[in-house]
Amino acid sequence: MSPQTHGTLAERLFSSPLDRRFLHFYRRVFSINEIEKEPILQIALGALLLSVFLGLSRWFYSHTFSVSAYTDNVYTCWPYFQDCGRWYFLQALPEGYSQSIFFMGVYALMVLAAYFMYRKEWTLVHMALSVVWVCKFIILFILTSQLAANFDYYDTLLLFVVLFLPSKLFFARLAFVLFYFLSSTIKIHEGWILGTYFTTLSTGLPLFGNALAPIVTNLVIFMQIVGVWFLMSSKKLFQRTALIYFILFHLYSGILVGFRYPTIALVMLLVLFALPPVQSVLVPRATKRALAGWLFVALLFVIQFIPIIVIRGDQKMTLEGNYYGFFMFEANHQCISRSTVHFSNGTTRESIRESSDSTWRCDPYELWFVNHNRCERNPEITHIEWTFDHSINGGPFYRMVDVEDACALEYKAFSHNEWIRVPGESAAVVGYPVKNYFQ
Amino acid sequence: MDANQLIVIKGLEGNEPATLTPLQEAIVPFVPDIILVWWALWILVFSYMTIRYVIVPSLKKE
Repeated sequence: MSPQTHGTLAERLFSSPLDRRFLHFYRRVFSINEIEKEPILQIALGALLLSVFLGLSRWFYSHTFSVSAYTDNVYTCWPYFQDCGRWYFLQALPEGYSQSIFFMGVYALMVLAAYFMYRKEWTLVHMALSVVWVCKFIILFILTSQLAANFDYYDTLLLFVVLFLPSKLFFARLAFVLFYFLSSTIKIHEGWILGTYFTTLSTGLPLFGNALAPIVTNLVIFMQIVGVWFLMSSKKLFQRTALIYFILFHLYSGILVGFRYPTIALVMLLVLFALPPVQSVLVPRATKRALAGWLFVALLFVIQFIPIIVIRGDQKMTLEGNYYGFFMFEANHQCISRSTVHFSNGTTRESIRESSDSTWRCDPYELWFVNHNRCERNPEITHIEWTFDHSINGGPFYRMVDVEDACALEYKAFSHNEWIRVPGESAAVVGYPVKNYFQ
Repeated sequence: MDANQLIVIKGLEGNEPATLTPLQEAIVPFVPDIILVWWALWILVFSYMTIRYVIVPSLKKE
């Protein structure tokens, strides 16, 4: 389509002088012309639409942020917004249709975005996807913590860059590189240096076997700290070598994580680093507009380092702040939580929750949240005794929580909670694990 | 390791205890040093990239 036909539908829809001024303002603020001129950004939007579609389709029937989730106490809020449940208003099937209606509205926007991509109406694509992005962001980071997943962080953050920041291609590439670089910080830990995340799985490390595990895992660490930056190199040999490594890495990772993660990571890797841009991708000059991009970059670092610097203790054991930044494969978990609910009539009810799934994070916060809601909602409960034992990467089970009354506990979102014991300090060893399974 | 202290979660019955491989046993004493090396490398790379992508471009005149 010739440049003159770009945006003709948008101009027909925004026809009045006021509309035109809004359109012009909108296009300038969000640098729509960058998308119009650079096919890589256009393809990136298509790839991100696919990833967002896959992510939202997994949430369609979810009971994590519905009214019934709140009433049944099967929801979990983020630690920084613990009252989120009071804001729930949608009802998921079979209790009601409102959540389905909401998601079909978002689906319609995604279909519209795809149509506008076909028509090369990039301003309208931007408008449709912006609404989709806001919906996803609110669900993922405000309404519930139960849907937190690294692949959803990937497409939400990359879509934010491509939609809302200037120098889109530069910051999209930089953000993608930083995803690996920041993820390396969670691997600088005994579990990855020894490779015990994988060797304590009953099935071991795929293809390479347990004997080579420490070599493989330390290679991954090295490539995420050093090798990843060669994706942005102007020297083709280095750039292509890094590209091939990460392509193979994501294909390999699919053996464990399935299609979802490679759909965003591998596809965007190819889009951003395998395709030649129309113009050279230069570091943006120090302007006010570029500041937005650099602030975003700074925010990525701040969020990733909150649990490392601000919150005392091993986040892989305490899970405090674990989900604020990237947390993929941070540790292989096993845990046992035992609660004894005491009622005013003298009766008690015991419940035990165990997990041998390496990917279930054994978060004391999640268990505290359920107990906390029980205490608040049921005046018949006098107190809840609670113990929580946790093992990572085949290491000892530590008694991380041992309290007489979970009802009396509070949870602080940005500092260590003293009632969560720390290995090496007050957390006692209570046993040792056997090998477990991935998923 | 005392086998009586094994904790076998439901679904893991019959699985062998989680133990270290010979290579892992050899590396264990050096883990704190390796952690230090990786963090030093990370900081070095971060510093270099900050200079290359942030400081140098901001010093260039328009």
